[in-house]
Amino acid sequence: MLKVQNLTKLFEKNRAVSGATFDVARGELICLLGPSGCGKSTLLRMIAGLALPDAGRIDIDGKDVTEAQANRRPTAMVFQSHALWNHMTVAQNVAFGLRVQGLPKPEIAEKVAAALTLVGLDGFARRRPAELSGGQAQRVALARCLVVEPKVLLMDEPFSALDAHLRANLREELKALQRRLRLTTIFVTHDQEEAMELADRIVVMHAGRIEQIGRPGDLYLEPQTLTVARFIGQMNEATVTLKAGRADWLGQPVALPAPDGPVTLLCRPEDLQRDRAGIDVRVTRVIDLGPMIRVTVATDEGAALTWVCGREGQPQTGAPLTLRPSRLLAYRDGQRLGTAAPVANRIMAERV
Amino acid sequence: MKARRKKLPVGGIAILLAMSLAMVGPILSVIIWAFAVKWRYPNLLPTEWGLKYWRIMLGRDTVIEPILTSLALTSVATTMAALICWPAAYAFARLQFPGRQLFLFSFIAANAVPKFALFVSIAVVFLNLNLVGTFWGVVVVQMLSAVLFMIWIPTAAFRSIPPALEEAGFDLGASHLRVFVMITLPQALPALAASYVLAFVSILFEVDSALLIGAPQITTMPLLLLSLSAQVIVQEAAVLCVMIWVPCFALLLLTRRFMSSKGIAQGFGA
Repeated sequence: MLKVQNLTKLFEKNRAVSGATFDVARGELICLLGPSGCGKSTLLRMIAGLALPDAGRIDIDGKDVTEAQANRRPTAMVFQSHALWNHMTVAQNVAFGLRVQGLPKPEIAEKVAAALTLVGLDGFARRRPAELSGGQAQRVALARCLVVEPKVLLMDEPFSALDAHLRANLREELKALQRRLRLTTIFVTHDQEEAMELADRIVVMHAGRIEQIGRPGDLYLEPQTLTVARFIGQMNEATVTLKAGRADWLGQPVALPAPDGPVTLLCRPEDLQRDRAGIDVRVTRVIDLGPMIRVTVATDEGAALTWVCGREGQPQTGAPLTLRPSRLLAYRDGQRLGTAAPVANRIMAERV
Repeated sequence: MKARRKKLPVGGIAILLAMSLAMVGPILSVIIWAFAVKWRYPNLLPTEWGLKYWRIMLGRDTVIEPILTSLALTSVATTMAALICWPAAYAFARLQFPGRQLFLFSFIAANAVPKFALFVSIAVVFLNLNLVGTFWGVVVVQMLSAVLFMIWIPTAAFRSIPPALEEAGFDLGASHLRVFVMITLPQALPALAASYVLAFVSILFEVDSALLIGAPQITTMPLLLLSLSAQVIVQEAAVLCVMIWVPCFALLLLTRRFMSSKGIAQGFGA
């Protein structure tokens, strides 16, 4: 449906977006995820036609639209600031795109009413944007886009100005609507939870580059670069030296079939287990998150680790523990090297 | 908190009253003069009221004509200035081009020069162009008086419109022109109206241009006022003053009504 190839945008010689390439299938929801300033909004604006790329190509539905202006593209965008026109009513806002197309009035009225129903705002047609809550305003902004039946719906951090609870609700509504209408959607966010919940696939961006594209679970379990590993979820990280396929990670011997050299090993908090044959640590902090407990521990050398466990068997601050990593992700020069496995026997590692 | 709020800010009210008196007092005196037939020292108010001088003034062709001339001149000059300045203001607000700030400040610079000196030099040029003493000659010079209002207020107004508002329209398929007419213009309208009224009033009362470029063929209302003030009959000048003041005041009130005072403040970039 949408094909982005090698898209590049320079901002005063810096590369705001560099060589972005990805496809979006019909009816798919893609999240562009990354920290602020990573170029995700610029990429979205290039797809919308609001910013022109310095290199690369954009195809929508098999048609090259790289040179087309925003008003000649079959895209519609929901802005972070909702960008409703406060001199028009809600109905006039939604009708705008149809009026521009020159549709007859009765047809416009019909479609506007349908769009407002779709976003759950029946009876709001005559209101002014100033009379709406943040969530309602964003719904109107969505209706304003949906009514023109865009081939690709673009959303630029649409919920980031709203409070957490409302954000979660709108996210669910959007996902349901997107599934039902089979909307091809690109959603920009810096919130990984939002991306995980909404996206069929996530495009992780960092410093203008695409780091990895994958389904939410894959990104979490198999991050291909160190940046992605650090950005998504929590990690316990230590850089160690690998020698003859063996290394010592904070006192835990591990095996990794790779050439000798420095290697960064990361372990998810939930991949640490209590095990007598593990790393000796002491509990420094216990945080009750409700469904689970987050425990901060320190090794004898003073390295801090994060561990999550269930409510049962919750340790006390200051208590000694032995934790064993079950799975460690290995990176060298920022790229994935493989998965390191803990070696069962401590003596074996000492021989190495 | 509540107890403090109940207490009247006596000092503040006193200052407010004093300021109001200082501003309204002179206007009040002019209004009284306009309806006074006899008002001699030491009476606090006129001893004889009436519309005698209104009849005299309205009966003179030499009074009505300058008023009509002034209204025509001012309308044409203000409208032309708007047509030129508003798009320029939009460009200043939205486009980045080298020397942008310099251009903006050049408008202030032009206003810092004493108008009289400026108009003398313009008059020399206009003499060669045969524009001295003509309607259009005066219009061109009067437009200069409007430039500051017509550029600065609209520029600030256009700049205060979030670009996303225009982009949203553009993104939904509207042309640049359509976005400007349907979105940008209505958004900026209060400030544009304010700039129009302020420019209109300042041009209406502008003396120098008509004096140097227009006279004697073109007599405007302020020129008439000048000549009347030189005579001794206070009432005649007062009547004319009220005649001018009423429509201007109404105009200013009207703009205030159809936009919030916040809109005016925004116009000045506040």
